[in-house]
Amino acid sequence: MNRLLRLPLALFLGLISLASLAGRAQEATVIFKDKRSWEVEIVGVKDGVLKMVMKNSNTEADTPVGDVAFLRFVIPFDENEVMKNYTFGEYEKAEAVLADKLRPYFFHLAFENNILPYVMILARSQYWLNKFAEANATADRVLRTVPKERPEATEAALIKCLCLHATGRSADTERIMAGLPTIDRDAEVAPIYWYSLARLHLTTNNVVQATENIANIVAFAGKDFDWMPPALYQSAEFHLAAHRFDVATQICQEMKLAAKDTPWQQKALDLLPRIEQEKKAHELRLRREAEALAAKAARSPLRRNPAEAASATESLLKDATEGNR
Amino acid sequence: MLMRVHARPIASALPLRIALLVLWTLLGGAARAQLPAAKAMQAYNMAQMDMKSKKYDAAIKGFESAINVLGPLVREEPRYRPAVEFSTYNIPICQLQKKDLDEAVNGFRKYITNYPDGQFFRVAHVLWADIRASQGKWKEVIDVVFKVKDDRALTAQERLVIFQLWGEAHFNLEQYKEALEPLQWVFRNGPTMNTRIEAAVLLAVCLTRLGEFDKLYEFVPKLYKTSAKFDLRLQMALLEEGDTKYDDGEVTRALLLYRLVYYKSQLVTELNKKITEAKRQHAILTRREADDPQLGTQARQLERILQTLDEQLKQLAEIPDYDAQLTIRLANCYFDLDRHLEALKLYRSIYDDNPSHPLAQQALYRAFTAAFAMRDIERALAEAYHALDAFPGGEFWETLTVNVAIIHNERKEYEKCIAICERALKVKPDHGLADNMVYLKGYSQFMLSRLEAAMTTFELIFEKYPKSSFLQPAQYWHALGFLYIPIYTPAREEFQEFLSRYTIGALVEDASYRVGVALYGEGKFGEVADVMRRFIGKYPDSILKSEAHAMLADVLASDGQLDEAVENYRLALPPAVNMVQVDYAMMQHARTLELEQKYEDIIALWRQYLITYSEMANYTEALYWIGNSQRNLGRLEEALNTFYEGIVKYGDDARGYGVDSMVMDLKAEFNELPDITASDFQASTEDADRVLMVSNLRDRLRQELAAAGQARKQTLQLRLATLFAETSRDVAVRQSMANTVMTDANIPRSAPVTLAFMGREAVQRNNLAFANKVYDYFLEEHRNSDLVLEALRGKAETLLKQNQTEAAAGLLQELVNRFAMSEQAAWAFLRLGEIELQRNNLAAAQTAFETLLSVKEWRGESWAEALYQLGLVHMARKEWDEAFVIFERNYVLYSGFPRWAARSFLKAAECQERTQRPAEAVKVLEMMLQTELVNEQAEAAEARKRLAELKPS
Repeated sequence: MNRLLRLPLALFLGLISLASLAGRAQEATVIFKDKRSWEVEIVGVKDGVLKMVMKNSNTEADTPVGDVAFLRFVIPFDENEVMKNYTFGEYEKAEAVLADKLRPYFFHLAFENNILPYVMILARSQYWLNKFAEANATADRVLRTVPKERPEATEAALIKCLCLHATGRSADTERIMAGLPTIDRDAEVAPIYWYSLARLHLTTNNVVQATENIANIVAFAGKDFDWMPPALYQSAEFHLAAHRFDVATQICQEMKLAAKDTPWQQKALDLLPRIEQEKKAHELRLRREAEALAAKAARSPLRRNPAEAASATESLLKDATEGNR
Repeated sequence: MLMRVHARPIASALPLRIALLVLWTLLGGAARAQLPAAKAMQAYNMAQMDMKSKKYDAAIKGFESAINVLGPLVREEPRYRPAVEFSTYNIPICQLQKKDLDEAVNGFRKYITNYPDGQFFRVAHVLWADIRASQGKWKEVIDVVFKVKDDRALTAQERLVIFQLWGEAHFNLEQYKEALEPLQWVFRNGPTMNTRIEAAVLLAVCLTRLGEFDKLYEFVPKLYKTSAKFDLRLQMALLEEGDTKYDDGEVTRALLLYRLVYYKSQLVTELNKKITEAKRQHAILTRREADDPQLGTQARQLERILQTLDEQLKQLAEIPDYDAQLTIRLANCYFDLDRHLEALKLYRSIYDDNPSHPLAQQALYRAFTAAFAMRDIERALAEAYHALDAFPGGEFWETLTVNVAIIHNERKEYEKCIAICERALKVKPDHGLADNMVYLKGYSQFMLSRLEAAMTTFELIFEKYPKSSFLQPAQYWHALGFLYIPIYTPAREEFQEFLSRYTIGALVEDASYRVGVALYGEGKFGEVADVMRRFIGKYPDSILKSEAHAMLADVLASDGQLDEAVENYRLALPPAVNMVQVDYAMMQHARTLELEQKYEDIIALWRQYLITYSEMANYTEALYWIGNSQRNLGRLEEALNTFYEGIVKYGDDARGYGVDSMVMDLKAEFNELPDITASDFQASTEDADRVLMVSNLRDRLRQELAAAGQARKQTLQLRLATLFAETSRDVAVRQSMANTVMTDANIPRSAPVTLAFMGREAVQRNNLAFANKVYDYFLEEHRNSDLVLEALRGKAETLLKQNQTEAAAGLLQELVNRFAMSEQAAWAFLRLGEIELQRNNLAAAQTAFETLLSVKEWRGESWAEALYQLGLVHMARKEWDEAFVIFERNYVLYSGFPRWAARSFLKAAECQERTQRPAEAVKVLEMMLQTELVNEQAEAAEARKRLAELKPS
């Protein structure tokens, strides 16, 4: 049951000073499981009790954490502006606001609340800004407070993995990935999950599995403009490594549009001359091998089987000219 | 796109103007107009109040009255102008509220005409355009917009609406190029995200329709982070343009468009969400409109949005489900771009998401083709089998089964090929590619050496599919079946028949050669020579030319024309296309020279061979021949050195079969060594030299045995251990060495000579399980070894001991096929005949025994045994007289083999008894007991006993 204590405010604040790390209270509507709601200023949580100050009476109150269904905070920034900045790729602006304003709310993420989506935007923005340490810290905060079953917890774990990959600590991701729930193909986090798995497989040189995961993104996450460009780039690199030069080139050309205005577009453009260079080197190698083979055949006392000789030449020529099949 | 501007707040300007009018009235005014003008002003004021109270008809009346009275006074009394202008403007505003839209438009036009400098001039245009937009009169919207769009006096809000309407009008008229400018302006300058996104949707559609991909992808990533992405116009544009691009062969562009399309199910959900939200907002606006008339425009805007959304939902309901189609199209794009893994995953997802979807079958089939295109054959097979299991007898059954069968065939997975062919035809007896399936089954059976089954299968093609393109190869393989069984005459006849039917193709060339082989089998050597000569002349570039020369040489050699034979063996080398052909010709050439004891020529021949074929050459075989020839020339030391070098250099290669021959020869040499040390011999004698040389070699090889152990040359070590185990006179040493060799771990390290030893030892020790292991490994790995004959016999014997007659028969058949003229073949024919006799397959048993009896080279005990067995066949048929004749022939002609003679006597006597001729039986038994050696056989006791019974006195 809820309890409403009426104590002098100063004494009340003194009591919870240890627990409240937020510095200042956050305005919110506490919605209880029995549908009642209070307009309050959240002060903090101590010993399973949510401490707050009633807005209308300026009196203190507390309630067991378990009775709270939802905390609807008064959003302390212009939501539209933040969303616009994030949507239009202006991550720096979004991050600047969120990193500053969200800090006091991190302590309340364990409740169902309307702040968490912005925390996730903060983490993503930090990741895209290559602020891996910050993104990792934000993800950690989510992981510490948000129940594991929540999709946000999964996404935070995946962002953490990506930060670890980016900072060369891929080996640490294996344990995290293993602890994740099964991720459905249509889940919003599926592309990050596949991307992270691909990165993990690459650390163990398991190119086959890495390729499978990248192909999942390319096949099923075409509308995800965050993860599609890196997946396409990785796919181009796989094709290049397998000497499928034309396919690698085609993907890079495709990325001029599909990765427009992203760093991946430039990376794809930079890859094109490398593909051309490797293609030429490969063709030269094949031609030399063919010549060596022909020379060896000419030296051989055995007459070449005309049918086999024709098919071998065809195959070599095909490899030399196509090189990508 | 709906109106986004509010009428200039008329009410806000009113108090000042009313005050002025009141002041004007108080000051007197024109006396002439004062009274009606005052009344008109009152009516005007009332009209405004009526307007506020939504009494639009009354308001219109009031405004009209004011205009009628005050209008004519304006020229003289300009102070009336504002009231007249406001009234002129407010009348269409009221009509707008009443939804008298055409009237409202007329009112705005009137205002615009009368007040080109009026303060509502621009907003009147905006409202006019807005009304026409809501009526879908887009051309008029454009006309109206063009009158003011460049007016610098437009407020920001008015400009926004003007550009929105401008863009929307062109968009709705499908004038996408013209729509770009206004829409881009709104996208850049829209004050809210919603405004900009709304413009972005239309812009994206325009760019899609115009194929402006570069610009399109400026918007799309942003657009796709909002719910605007679910706009049906955009989705349809993407889908339709995707199709157009795909049809035009612009696959990458098609892919870029298809990727952005949402599935119908997702769109329905999202549209419903948007409708609910729009309705919620509309309800709020409608409630508040009474307090703030300016919200009416927003409400109308929402009504139009709702109307659009409803229409989209209806349109969507009418579109057939395209989700799977979209996935197929996406997958097709990836497939066409050689990005097969993505294609495979998408195809597969159609089935995985809904296995009963009408496209599921096609999707699984395409998944197979994608995996195949990736050259991931394992995956292709897995996909194919998945498809076959999911849709037995389905739409793609025929194509899939044929493809799977072909893949198995190419991978030499003949059992699997047969299984899929049988399954394909069982599930769908009217299989459209049945002839192909039957042919592949027959071919696989042939490759598994199930010749009779294969021939029966090919006969199915003759009977059921005489017009099939597989008839020709089926006939070829059928004839080849006879050749391999071997039944030469029908083989030759079928090949000849084949050649009379067909004149071109690789099979014709091959059949021309096979006729000669069949004739060779028939013993018609003269004809063989003719056929081979014709073949060589007709097909000078044939890959069989080398074999034709070699066969011609074989025939000539058997006819004693050795020089011509040697010449043909030489001619066989240049056209050889592989080392098998070279080695055969070399071997036969060497054997021919051996017949003439031309050992120097043999040595020269093999030395030249080693130079010519260098790393491709069979070194060990060549060295064996050289060493053996040196020995035959009496140059023992040279020979032993050749063997020593061969063994040491190549002995660790299990496939260096020539080393085995050297070991076998040395085994004989070592076993011939006297049981004394070399020092006991007089050094001057030839024998002593020989003993010394052989002993020395033995000592050197002992050292090599130790060295091989240290160098971990295990195959060499085992070969030498075998040699010493088989030549040691000390039983303990021999036993110990044999034990060292005979371990499971050594099996895969051993060369044939070691394996053969292991097998013999195992059989001797009655360790049949180990013998089986050894022989299985031997037959798996070393079928080309000369010692394979021993392995085949050993394995067959082991199986017979274990009563596994079926498996034994297979090996025996292989033995007689491969080594038709060997002594072991005679033994194999006897065992085969016995097996058939036991099975009561009397004809087959008779064939086996008669075949043996047809080979003169096997005359001797084999014949004696064969005759006895043949007699038993006749007895089994109760052909007593025929049996008696055979037994009699046996003991008369082959009494030198008393074991079989004794048995034949007994059986001959039995035949006489069976035909009620006991006196004759007595004579036979008496003769038996009088025949030397025969009467010493165990059977003699039986004869005496029987004789006593027949002659009791």
